[in-house]
Amino acid sequence: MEASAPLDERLQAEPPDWQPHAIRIGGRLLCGSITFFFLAFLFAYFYLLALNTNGHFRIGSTQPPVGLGTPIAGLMLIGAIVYRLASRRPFADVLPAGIVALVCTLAAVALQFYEYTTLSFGAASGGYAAVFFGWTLWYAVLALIGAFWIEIQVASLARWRVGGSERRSRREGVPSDDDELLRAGIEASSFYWSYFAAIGAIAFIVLYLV
Amino acid sequence: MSAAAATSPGPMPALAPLWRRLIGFNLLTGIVLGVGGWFLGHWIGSEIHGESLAYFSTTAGENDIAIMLGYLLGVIGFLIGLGFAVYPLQRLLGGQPTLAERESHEHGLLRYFSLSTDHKVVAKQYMVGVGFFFFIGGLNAMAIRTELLQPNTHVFGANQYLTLVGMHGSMMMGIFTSGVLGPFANWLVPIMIGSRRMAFPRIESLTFWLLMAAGVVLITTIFFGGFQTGWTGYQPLGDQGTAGYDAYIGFFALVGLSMTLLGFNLIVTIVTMRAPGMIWSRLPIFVWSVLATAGLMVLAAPTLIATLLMAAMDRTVQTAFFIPGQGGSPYLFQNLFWVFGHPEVYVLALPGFGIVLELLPVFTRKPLWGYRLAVAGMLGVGILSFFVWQHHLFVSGLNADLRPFFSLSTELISIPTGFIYLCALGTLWRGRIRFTVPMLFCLAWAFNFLWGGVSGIFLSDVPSDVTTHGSFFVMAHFHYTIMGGLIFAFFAAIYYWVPKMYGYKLSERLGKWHFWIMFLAFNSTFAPLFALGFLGMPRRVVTYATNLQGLNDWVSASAYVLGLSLLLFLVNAVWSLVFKREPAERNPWRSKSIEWQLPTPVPLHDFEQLPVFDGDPYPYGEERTPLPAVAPAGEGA
Repeated sequence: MEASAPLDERLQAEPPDWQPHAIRIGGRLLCGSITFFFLAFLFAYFYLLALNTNGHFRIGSTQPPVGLGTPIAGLMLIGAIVYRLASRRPFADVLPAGIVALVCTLAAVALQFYEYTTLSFGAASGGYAAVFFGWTLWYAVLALIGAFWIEIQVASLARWRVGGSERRSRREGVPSDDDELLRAGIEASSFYWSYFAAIGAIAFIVLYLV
Repeated sequence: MSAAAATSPGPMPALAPLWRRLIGFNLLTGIVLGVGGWFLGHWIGSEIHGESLAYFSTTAGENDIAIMLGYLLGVIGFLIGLGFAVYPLQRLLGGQPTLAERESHEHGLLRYFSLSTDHKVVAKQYMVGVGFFFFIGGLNAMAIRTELLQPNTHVFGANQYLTLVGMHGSMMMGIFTSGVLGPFANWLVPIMIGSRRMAFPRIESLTFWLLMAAGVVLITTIFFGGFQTGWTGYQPLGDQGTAGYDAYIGFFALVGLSMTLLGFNLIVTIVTMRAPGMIWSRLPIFVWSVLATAGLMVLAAPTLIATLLMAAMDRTVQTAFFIPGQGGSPYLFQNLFWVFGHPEVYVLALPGFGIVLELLPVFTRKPLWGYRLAVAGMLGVGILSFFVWQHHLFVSGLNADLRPFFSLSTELISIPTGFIYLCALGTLWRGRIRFTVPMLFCLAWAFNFLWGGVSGIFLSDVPSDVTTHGSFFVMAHFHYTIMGGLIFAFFAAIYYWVPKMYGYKLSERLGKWHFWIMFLAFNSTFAPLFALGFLGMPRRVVTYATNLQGLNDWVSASAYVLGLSLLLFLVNAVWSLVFKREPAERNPWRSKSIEWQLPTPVPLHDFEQLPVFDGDPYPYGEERTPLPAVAPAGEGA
């Protein structure tokens, strides 16, 4: 069943562009929400750095390993760029790009949790440590939630590859909005994912390089 | 707006047996899995809990990790039991996107206890759910006023009193973020823009059940010692608090998530699903207010969620966001909280503005005066509300150079607010006013909000704010703006739209009694608080100077009457909607907006064919004002 088709065949179908448009707008709106979510951590970083209460912004050696931070941010960026570049190409090209994005994300999250086990400081090691753990932990959690969205696109693409031609022939020339919905989902998720990876890059600069 | 042809509705699918439906995805299963999830989370937390983590708890033996995990898995179990995991899992496995709607299979009362994708059902769920927690919050208020009958003799004791204050504030400020948008925006926005549904119907339902879960989480604070921070959850009290504060964190985090998703859904719906001809300049003013509010929700609530996650991490994994001894700062919490908190005030106020401006043309038989000015005002309020948060921290020791900016930005916000007020007055001017119950509530809004707004100027100004900060003056101010502004508009909306939503009339006589008692008792309760504030009575303190007892007793007595007036409303609602059930007319107010052109009750799918809009939304007073004709669809909902 297409998303824009009514349940009751006697009802006029809503315009087929509504739902794809909604998905695209929704992707942009999510970017606004996560901006404000991570702005809180960015604000916390600079606020606590500026206050440096009792000289405890950094307690002891609190430098995270750049050697781990670089691949974490890099994997997120690579996955996002590949997925975004492929999003306007034919579906057959998007599927491998989606899988790449998914694998990169899972690898980045795994590396992040591995990093926690190798750090020379703990969560209680001052204001910086608090921001580091808070920002990276919730970034990883949201990355997993985002990966869920990408996985849905990948699964839909796989389904499309298996049954796309059959479905089209079954409809006997009636325009299907399935493909348009799938295209919108890919476009919105890739846009969101690029934005999310950019936030990761900012996190890398602030937490590892500044 | 033009018409469409009608055809008879099709037969509904056969229902499964009752026993089969009871063991499916519904509230009962949700509760079972929610309780199970709580115990599972608590057990896991107990297993990973280390001795050192008790550092932050003042009560020995508390385990914040176990409690937090209990809440988390409890809520997840609750949502799974309601059926929210089914569709995502189907999609995860490559299932096709579908809007197959549950209401086509579920009828009767059971649909109100499960995941529903009918926007009208979700709206009614919100109405009852929000009403229930409003009632609990109101009972807390009665308990607070009972405690304050005597300056030094205690009914509850200091800690319980502070918990009551915190629960009352949190319940009202948290749950009521969706007080208007939940029932009314969900019900009205799709119809007003000519759509049959919200853009993401499952998310629409999710926002409601998240809010209900939040309310239950907050109530559980009483089992863990409550929280003494008030609704603002200030640090370092929060970090030092008992496990009851975990419930506060869980509550507001869930409210924040619900708000974000609700706002997200509303914006996407309004932007993308407007019927042909519904251009921006024809959008009903209520929809504009919803749009402005939704924008605030989508942007401000994530900041709240992040802030509460920081607090949760401080209490569980020993980070030090808000602990000054370890490089953190309590002021960080205060700043971040108010980055959310002040837009939150307008999340509450803006829908009230929208309701009043939507209703005034109907009861004055005039077009809305200054439509574009009102829209500008709403958007202006929304944008400016992000630049005023530090006026809550004028006495916190912030850099004095920052004060003029935030004082100015706060005073600036009165300009767009004034636009809206001006539009209300302009619409009333020389109107043929009908003093119906909804109109009386609108007029009361105008009176109350004026006092709330004028008293706000004192709080935006640094010298007078320093004098009145933390006093009952502030309480009087925000009750006049929020209760006087939102709750009165909320009741206007109830008396106006409930007959259309439920299909039954509310008693006009009882409604007028309700209005007059509530209006008089409200002012009798909150006006003296201005005086109490000037006389030095602080907020959130269980004792007070004996010379203030007379005024306090007056306020408490008035508060009881205010509570009685709300009970009178409850009697009216139950009597009219459950027992008397006198069918409502199709358009008793002679409104020209689209929802009133539909049959009562509104059919399952709202319209058979999508309406086409071709005129001004408020064509009152014009000689030829053809009513919009729309073809209904399906059976009554």
